Amino acid sequence: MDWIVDKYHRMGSPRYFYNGALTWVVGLYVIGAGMLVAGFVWGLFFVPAERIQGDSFRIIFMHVPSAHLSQMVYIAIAVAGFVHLVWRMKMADVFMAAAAPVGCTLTALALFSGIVWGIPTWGTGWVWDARTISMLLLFFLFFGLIVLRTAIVSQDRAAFAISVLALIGVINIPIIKYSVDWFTTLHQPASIDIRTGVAIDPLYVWPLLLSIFGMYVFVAGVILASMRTHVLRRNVGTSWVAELNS
Amino acid sequence: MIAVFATLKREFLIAGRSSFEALTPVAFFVLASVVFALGLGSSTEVLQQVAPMAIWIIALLASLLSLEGLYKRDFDDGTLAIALIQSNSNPFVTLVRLLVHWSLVGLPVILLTPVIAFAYSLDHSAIVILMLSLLIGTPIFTLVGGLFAALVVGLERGGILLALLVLPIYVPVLLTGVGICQLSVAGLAFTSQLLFLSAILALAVTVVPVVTQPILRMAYGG
Repeated sequence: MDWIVDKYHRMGSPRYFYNGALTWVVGLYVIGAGMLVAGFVWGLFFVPAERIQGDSFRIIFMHVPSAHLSQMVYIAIAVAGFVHLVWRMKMADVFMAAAAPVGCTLTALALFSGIVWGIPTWGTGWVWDARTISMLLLFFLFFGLIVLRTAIVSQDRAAFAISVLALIGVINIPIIKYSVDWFTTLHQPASIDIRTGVAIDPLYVWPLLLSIFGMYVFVAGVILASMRTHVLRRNVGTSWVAELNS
Repeated sequence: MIAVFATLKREFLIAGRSSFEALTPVAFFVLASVVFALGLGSSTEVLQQVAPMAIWIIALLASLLSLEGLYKRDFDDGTLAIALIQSNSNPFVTLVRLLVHWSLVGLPVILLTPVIAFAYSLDHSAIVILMLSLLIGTPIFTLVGGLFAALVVGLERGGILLALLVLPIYVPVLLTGVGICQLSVAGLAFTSQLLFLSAILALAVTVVPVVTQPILRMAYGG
């Protein structure tokens, strides 16, 4: 128990975080990239084509991980916002600053791959249904998180405002998640559900799971790497940063 | 209680003294909806079909247009700072301010809807439903927008920032409101959508006044 408390307090120290996170970043990058490449290669070359959709379904190995991670990143930002509002933990704000652009990119990737997938299978790239609208809103929310930070000069106020915005926007997440179950739409319901099990052929599940978990690890690495640079930028002028250069 | 009535009196007094400014959003609503109708052409069918969406969107924009100024004047002349120093964090004062804002933007919009609906040749029952949905929808715009107005008060380019942040949050309200009108035109039941919208309003009324005070305090650095 002492070990955890000790670790927690050390994490709050910028210097300790900056030095300690490097090993983690390298590890997460290597493992995440390895899993992603393995999942993609498996999914693109070794799995048979789907009976109805043909080869076009293979974009699922890009679409599902990025869509899933974009929501997870938003939830993580909202949790960090809560942590920041309640405990005023500086690292929570660093996390929000680092994660927002990553989440924005993932959402854009999910929307883009969805459009690309929709053209051959739905016959149209875009329909205005609940899932696409709520994902588009998620993109705007991420965009708002990024813009708000650039607009507010005071770092404390920016952190506060972003925490509030993140917590308000989190209402959107369950709407995205259940939009395909609540409303009848072109978008298919979730293929992998903890309660009801797997609705797709087991042949496709393993490469899909591999790419989802690979995306988790890789995104964690990207966010952590970005957090390191944010920590460095916020501590310009302190003695430990000056020592790094000498 | 005194503070609540004093705020009520003060807000209406300020609005009365700067009546041109207070009327701008309403004038925008009238002009924009007429121009929109003109742009759509003279086909009665098209106008009737588009009217609920058009009026809802323009009502949304009208309230968005006026929200930036909600706390701006008090922030600029220091009234807000004094109120916060006195720790006068009575949520009802905030609620009254939002109510005044709604009665100067939302209420006139609803009252003018029958006139505007004339330009879209809407029939009687469609107008009633449109007004009913706006009656629940426009206070939500004011409440949620007021929360974000507090978030960006005192910032440069606060207006455009406010629009960027608040529009995604408005979308579910807009879709539900327009949905009510469309369902009613199609002759289907719309009670659940109406109740859903009312639930959002109830949530906003209870949450927004309470959380606005700490957000405003943050404008002065906590």
